[in-house]
Amino acid sequence: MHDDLDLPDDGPRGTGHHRAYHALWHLQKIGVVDDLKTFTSSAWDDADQRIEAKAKRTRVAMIDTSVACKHPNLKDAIATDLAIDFFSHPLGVPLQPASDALKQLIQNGTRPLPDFLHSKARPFWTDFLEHLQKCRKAALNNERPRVRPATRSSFSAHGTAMAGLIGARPLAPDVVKIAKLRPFDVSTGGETDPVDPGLPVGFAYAGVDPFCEIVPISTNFDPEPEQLIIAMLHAVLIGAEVIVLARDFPAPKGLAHCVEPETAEAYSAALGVGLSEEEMANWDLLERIVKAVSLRVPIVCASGNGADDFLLYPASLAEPGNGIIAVGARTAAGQPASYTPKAAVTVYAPSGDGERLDAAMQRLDTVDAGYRAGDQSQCYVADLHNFGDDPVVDADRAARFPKSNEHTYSPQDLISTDVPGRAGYNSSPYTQVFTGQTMLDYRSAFCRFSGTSGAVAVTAGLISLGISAGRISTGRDGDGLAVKRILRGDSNLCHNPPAEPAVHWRHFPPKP
Amino acid sequence: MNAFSSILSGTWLLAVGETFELVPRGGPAAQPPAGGTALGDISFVDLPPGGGGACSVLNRNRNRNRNRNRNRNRNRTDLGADLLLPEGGLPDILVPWREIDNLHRLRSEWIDLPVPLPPPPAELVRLTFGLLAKQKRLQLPEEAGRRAEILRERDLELSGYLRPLGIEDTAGYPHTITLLLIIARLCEEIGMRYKDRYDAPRPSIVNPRLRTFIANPLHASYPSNHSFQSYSMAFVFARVVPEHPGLVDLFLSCRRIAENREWAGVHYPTDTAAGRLLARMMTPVFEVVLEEQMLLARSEWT
Repeated sequence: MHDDLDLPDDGPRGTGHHRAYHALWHLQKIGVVDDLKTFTSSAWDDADQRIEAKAKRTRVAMIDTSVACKHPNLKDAIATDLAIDFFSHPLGVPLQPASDALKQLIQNGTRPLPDFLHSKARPFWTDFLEHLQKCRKAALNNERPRVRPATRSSFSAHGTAMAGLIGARPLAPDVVKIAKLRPFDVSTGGETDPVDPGLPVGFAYAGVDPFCEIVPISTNFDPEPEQLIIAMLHAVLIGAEVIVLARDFPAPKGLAHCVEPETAEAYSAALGVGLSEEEMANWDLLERIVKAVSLRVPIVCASGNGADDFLLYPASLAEPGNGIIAVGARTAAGQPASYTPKAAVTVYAPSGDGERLDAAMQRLDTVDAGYRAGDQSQCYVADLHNFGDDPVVDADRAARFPKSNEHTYSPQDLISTDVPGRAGYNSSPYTQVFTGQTMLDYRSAFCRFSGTSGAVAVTAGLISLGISAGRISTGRDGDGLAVKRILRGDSNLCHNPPAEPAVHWRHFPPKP
Repeated sequence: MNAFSSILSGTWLLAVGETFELVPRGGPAAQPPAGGTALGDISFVDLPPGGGGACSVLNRNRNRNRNRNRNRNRNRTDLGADLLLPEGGLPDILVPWREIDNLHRLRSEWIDLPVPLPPPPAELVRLTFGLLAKQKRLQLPEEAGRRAEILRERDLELSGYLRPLGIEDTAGYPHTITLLLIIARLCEEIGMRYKDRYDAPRPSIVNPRLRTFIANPLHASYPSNHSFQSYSMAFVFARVVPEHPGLVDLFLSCRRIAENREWAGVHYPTDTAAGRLLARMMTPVFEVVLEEQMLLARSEWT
């Protein structure tokens, strides 16, 4: 035996041993809770009192993937009676077509198009309302829906994480029980006494505004404008007070840059498909609708995860004259996240970070088990470090580092709700995690989440909380612009770095 | 104080490596969890690294090359070797009997989807005028690429779907490739029923001036099975990995594959549109019938 034979040491490596951190760190960063011990929150107290006084819940329209509506932290947050899916049907499949909430809104399919929308939206509006009315009648007659919604929870990870960050409700220890261990005694062939895995714990996760209601509007990713037009019209129909848009609009001008002239023919040549004039006109209509709606209701858009020089479309439409909010991501260390676009975003909100190694940015996870200091060039390795983790190479270096700089990698992702069980971002080894109200594996109900999507959800949640706590309101002409101004804290900054202006509760007006 | 603050102050949810721990906290009765550390008033806590779990798809997207290499290595399994044939030939799968069985157990959900009726004969003739223009343009030198595509896409060929996903030349995605092949197999069967129902004539039958670039398939025209199959793969994949940055390219590629059949003179635009719509309406059925395979495919991307 030659146990003493080993590979020569080639230098230090990451240990893979990151520090644990509180899942709700971002709530403290944006000033919603005072600290992560008491969770004291004047904003939540105010919202709580208003709900007690019968104020209606803030309605957040979320244009995203479907949501796992039965997640314990989400079941009271999701307004399934207004939810709709556009994945499978061009005019949408309402999840509860016979709901009273929908009935009141569509007024037998005769409700007129709001006058702030362009008249070209009228045919879409009329078809949509007639369709909803038909769906309602069919449901009341107990007819089987011809087309089902594509909303299976197994494939709803993104929407579930988004919804959790916006409006998840914490559950007290007596609501969801964690299953006890049932040891098998091999010597007797019987079961020993069940073993409690620990003290009762609450399902202690909260969104930024746990008082709001979220209306999932799910869409597919086929680049065609009609479903997005009608998705926006649905948000208008339900009187959404905030619109969340973490996805982009795959319009030709967002897909192919610098095409001249901007005609169907030129874009067809650039994209290799046969675009029609009608499609191009509908993309234009969608843009008009988004701009018009944003004047009344803030539209919170992802700026993109590509570290590009340009923003995703429609975040790229954000300008001082509209209520479109382009959100960039800010790490736990307060730096712009490595993937966030260099272009001017409206606001930054907390999210996770990403590794990068290029001429413009060197930011690596020095604690990752795959990190080998010896692989890195000396010209940048000396600057690399992690936020909150011990330095891998030289413990003495810690004192020399600034708290954070552009080389600081932040291993702290956002944490949100996940599809429980095998599906989702965080898989469980158990096929069935629930037995009644008892949960076999609570860990799979949560996940790490990141990207400008996460920052969008945090921002939308904060706006929603502003409404829930009675500090702002939306829906009237100009409200979208006002909210945007408040969110920016009247800042003139629009820099990267620093990641400012960053969203914070202190920017909201005081309690009236 | 509101009830939510009170619950949150009683239990901590900690992110530990790739997993999570709910830790009771605050009261005098609070004890450290089994095998854990007593938690004081500190914001960072040393705990052993968590094992397993899924990493973020978004992370992968942000660091495409770094993570893709890791995934490739991790996923080089025997299954991958079984799927790949030499010379870039189409990989083969066993007959997906479970999925076929599932599909037929849900027959009532897909047998009468509201596909619009095909255009009447006079309209079909009018639609061939557009196809004649395409036939003429197809002969131009700049359309050499499209001519090659049409020939390559006569039979099922996956490169048009795998290239936008960035996995055209890798062996690391056997479950994703298997998923696409199963979809193609199921769509063939479903599409034939709809074709048989409407029994629409091919374009060159209603207008003999149209000389097809490839031979007309034996079955009826409406809806286009190339369109149906392609879009079904795209819609299902969009449910599996909605975070994939190549999704729009995948849809555009599907659209081109479907439109190439018009350029070849074997389909009307209405056939293409009907195939696309049928695929969209089939997605809720597929996500039930194919759930197991879709979850397996997803595991290759997270």
